[in-house]
Amino acid sequence: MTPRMPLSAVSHHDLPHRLRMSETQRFLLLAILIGVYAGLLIVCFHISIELLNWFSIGAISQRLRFGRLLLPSAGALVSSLVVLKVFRAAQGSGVNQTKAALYVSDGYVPFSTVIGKFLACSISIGSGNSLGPEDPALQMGAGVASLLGRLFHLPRDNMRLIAPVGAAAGIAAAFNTPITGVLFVMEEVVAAWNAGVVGSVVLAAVAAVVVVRLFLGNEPLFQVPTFAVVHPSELLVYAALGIAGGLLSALFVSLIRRLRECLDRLPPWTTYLQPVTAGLLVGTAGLWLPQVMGAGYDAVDNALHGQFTWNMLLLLGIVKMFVTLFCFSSGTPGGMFAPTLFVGAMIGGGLAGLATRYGPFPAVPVGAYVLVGMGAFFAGMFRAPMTSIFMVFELSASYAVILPVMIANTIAYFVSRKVQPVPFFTMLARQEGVDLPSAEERRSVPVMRVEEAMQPAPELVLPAEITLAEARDRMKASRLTVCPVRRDDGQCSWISRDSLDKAVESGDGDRVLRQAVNLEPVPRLYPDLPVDSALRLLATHPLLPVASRTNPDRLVGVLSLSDVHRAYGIRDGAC
Amino acid sequence: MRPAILGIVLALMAGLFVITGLLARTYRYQKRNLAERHFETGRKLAAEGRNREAVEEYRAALSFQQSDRRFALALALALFDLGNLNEAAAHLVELREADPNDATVNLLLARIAARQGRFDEAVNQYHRAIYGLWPQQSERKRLETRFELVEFLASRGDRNQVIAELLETAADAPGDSETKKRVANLLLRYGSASHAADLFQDVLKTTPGDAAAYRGVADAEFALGDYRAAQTAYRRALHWKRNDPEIERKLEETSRILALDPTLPNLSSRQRLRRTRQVMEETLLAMVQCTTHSGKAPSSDAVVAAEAVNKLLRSPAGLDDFPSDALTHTEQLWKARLDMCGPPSDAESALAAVLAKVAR
Repeated sequence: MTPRMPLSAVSHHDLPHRLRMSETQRFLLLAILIGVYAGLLIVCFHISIELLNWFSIGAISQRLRFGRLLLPSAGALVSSLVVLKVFRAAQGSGVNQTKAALYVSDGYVPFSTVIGKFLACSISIGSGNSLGPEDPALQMGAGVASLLGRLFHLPRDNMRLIAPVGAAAGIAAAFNTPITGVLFVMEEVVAAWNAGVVGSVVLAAVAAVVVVRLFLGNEPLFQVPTFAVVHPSELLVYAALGIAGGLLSALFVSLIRRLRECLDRLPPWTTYLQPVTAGLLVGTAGLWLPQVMGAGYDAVDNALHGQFTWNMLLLLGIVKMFVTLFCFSSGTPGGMFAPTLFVGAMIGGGLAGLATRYGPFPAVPVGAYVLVGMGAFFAGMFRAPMTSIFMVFELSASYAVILPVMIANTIAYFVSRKVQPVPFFTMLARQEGVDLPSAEERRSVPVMRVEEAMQPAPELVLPAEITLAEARDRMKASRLTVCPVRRDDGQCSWISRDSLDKAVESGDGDRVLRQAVNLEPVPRLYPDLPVDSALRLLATHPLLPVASRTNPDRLVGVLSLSDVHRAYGIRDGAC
Repeated sequence: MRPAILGIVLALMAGLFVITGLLARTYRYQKRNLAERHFETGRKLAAEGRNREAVEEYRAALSFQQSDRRFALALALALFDLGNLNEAAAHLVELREADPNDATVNLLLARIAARQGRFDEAVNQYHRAIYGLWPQQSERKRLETRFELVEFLASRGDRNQVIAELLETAADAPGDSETKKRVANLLLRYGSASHAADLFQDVLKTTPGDAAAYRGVADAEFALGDYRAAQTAYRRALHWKRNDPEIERKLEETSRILALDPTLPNLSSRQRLRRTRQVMEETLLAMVQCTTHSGKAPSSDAVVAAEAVNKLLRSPAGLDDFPSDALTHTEQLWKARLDMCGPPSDAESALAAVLAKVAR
């Protein structure tokens, strides 16, 4: 047993050193701070939107008949002034801006973005414009994270990763769903499962959700009624819902692209007129269908409880799609997540009502289809299939929903991808003149593996205990220029014929290989590894051994730079 | 991390915590206020019978305070009254998930299942309501729910389950005479006269002067065909509740039956033959009156039975030679009379009772 060192034995000079945290620990601690800050900010943001909504749509429109018609316009005008005149960095949905911070500006998100987003989006969403608070929350989280990163002078690599950490906290707090926050950021923003960032993203998201629940309670975003798949034929309706969700989401993305192109061609003086007109459209629709105003979560909740008839659900879905199209394309501050969920929910419920009324399917509560419709439209729109599945799962807290959601979301994802090849956020980025990496594109790029480039293991592997002369003779016989050497500890090294020739000529031919040559162990590759990961090693080692996963001591092949060239179709010397 | 910066960041966080806390408090207060306001408006509207508008108010209340069970329950009730059963059920199922023992919720779910024709589920829900927790007046409400279940079961024609449920209800109310009488009356209505008689007797043990219990015993004995016991019980009922026209009428009817019944024990052969002849004559007369008033031609079976009865009445047979199947023909004739002209008139009630007893 190791004796414990008495505290008095620890030198005062050692103490700060012992308490000093590693870079990883500092980053994780910072992630918690980011989560708490983002959570607090999102609570305030949520309350601002709600209070504005109660006192504008709720109170004013009850007293003034046309209040509901004009309020979204007024809100859109003020919020547009805020972002166009004061906080210009706060323009856009927020997701691409966060991605840009990661890939372009080394994690830098100006804090003015946070203030601008907070003010502009509170006003626009609170006054009834058909947009949601989640994407702005994501960017606000990233902004807070960036500020804290700068305050603590994080190194460049960590600064780049800090924005996604804040983004995860922001979106998790906005949805009150930690898993969704983590998954969306990993799937869409970071676009790769980077081990270094996962821990901090999870910590930040959890901290943010804890803060939100502390202040706003444990109530989920929706009160989801329980349901179960009544009959297997229902799965066909869910599959059809996936197709419809995929097609409609692709159509929605396409319409946004076209409308944004049209509006971009209008003269500059219409910049303020566009959000005002969009607000007027929302107000007009809101006179008859007040459910389409704002984020619309109450309406989704009502739809989940079967309040609307199938034709009303379809009408709400289409009108919401239409007004959101104008609000978002005109540049009114706000996000697309909430409207997407709304449209998906209504279309899902409506189509299910249609199927059970006119099709040979058993009549079931519409709530399940509303929920699955949300997920399917989300998957088609944002092309984040994992997020969409877990989001619905997390919102419903029902395991029964998993199978229908997986069916519908996967179909929606593939249908949307087929019909509209460019994902929504990529399309927006390209319209803004930026080409950010997309998770979907990354997934689509085929990866070349070591097994596709390697040569079979040579028949000759030199043992370390033979003499240099014998080694040279064996290599001569095999006509190899570089040959693997098996070290005593089972690891591989390599030796070139030139070096052997020189050693023998200098009179060292009788010396044993292990003693005469410094046999540095060479990193081992495996057949399933991407070739990219081997390239860096090939810069220092001309030959890399490829070992079997099941028996790492067994050599299954070797890889050299010329093998990689050959696999990629590059002629030797072409570079 | 520089300690100074960390300190500032933590201090700022504490400040932001306080500000957010104050803001959240105001927000919750406003939210609660708005929710209560909508709820109260909804209640007023519902009391005025304006359920459609009440539903909107309850919905608004619920959107502000999703976790408040009162709002969800009021909304479910209003939806139920409007006939929007699916949505009402959706809210109720959520409430049940949060508190599976809420009897009010289970009762509403039972009613919805009953209305939607889901028999087994309805019975199951009624039982959950009966054994669930009621916020107040639990015993009375539990009992009312049992009676509602009995009515539901009776409407489905499930006599055995009705009786089982009623007996269980009586067992659950050992000292409650009123409940026992109610249960006994229902047992009588749903055809379990012997259980009813036992229960009424049980009541009489604790409240010997209860006219209604005597009346119940009498009705049960009457239904069982023990007219002597019924007559005794009617007399006692009349003793405790003098001049009750209904009891008097039943007593008179019972007396007429006893005067006509040829199957009573301790009758002399002469009396039995005279009563049998009287039954046969009255039945023949009833058939004649039936054909005269209805204008319908009797069926061939009825004619055969009438001829047989008539022939027997005219035969000069002695007292011991009267054929044993005389009453069988009379029964057939009475059945034909019932088929042609429906239920017996008041004047024929004694005859009907005697023939029913004979048939048994």
